Amino acid sequence: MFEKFKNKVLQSQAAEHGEAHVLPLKTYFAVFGSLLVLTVLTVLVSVIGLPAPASIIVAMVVAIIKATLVVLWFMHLKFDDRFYSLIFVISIFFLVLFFVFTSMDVLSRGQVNPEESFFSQDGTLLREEFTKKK
Amino acid sequence: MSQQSSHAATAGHHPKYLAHHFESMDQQNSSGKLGMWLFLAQEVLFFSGLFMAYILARIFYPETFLAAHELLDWKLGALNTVFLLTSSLTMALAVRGAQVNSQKQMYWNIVATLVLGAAFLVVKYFEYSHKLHDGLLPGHFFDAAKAMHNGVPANIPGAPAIFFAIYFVMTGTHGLHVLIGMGLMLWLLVRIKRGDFNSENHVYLENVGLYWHIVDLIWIFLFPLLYLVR
Repeated sequence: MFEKFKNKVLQSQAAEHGEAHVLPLKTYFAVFGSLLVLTVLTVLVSVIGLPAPASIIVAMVVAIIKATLVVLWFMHLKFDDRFYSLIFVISIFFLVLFFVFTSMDVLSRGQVNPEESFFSQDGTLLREEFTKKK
Repeated sequence: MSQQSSHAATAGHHPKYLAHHFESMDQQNSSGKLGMWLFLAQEVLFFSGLFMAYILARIFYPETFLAAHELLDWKLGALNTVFLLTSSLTMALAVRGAQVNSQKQMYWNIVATLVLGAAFLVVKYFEYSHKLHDGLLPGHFFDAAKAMHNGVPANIPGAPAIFFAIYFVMTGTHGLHVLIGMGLMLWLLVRIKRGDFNSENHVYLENVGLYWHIVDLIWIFLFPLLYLVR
């Protein structure tokens, strides 16, 4: 049984590493074309001027799609050893963790202890030392 | 020279570029790539600090960001986006050139990538010198009076000095990465000319490619965040 498993692993490794996966040229140009179209889309969305929360959400979704295209095709993660994908996904996981928890702290501090809040009741910034000139 | 190395590639168990501490070219190449991906993970986390600073500054001063980004030229930003996306394409094609064992494709695609990287920095130079001239600078170097004198509407609410601090640190760090990438590409060109790379041995080329794509990736986020905020 173990022998069978080992063979299976060796086979899949051979399939993964054996021959470098050469993509047809048109794939690269299709990815590049999509990236350009998405760039035009981001600019258009900004020029049209969507209302406040929608515009940043659209911009970020488009940027994430573009990043995914680059990572999967230009950086070959779609075709490469899955272990590289794992490393990359882990780095993104910690990035999101960092962003979410730090933002949560800053935004919700006042709810725990009003004296520690960055903002007053009406939402204006309290920590004037950030803007003060020397 | 390239004839020789491609001969070595087919010669069997011991290609001349296989280091003695690796069992096979496969193992050597995947170890190199693993190292590169670990470095790229570090790059993501390194830039995450700068993006976090951006997020916090935007939470604190939303009105500053809305007003201050008008002082950046989105057309130049868009032009630079096109330069970097195209350079990513040529970089990917250079790696493909290595896979199909074409010295010519490798060489000229790297040259194209290098030129596009340089074009990016030239545009960035014009943007920076403009800002310098108008006093749109980070921290206490920010000079609204000078900007107004030059006809720039710099009467921005909140903390424009912080916006420009973030603008310069983020684009500056990114620009430094572009510069380092260009240095690496010069090195690649020397090695390609020497005939070091072929379809079996091109992990250096691939790794510089991965690095270059990450630099492109960061710009994909910087461009809408800095130039197109609404």
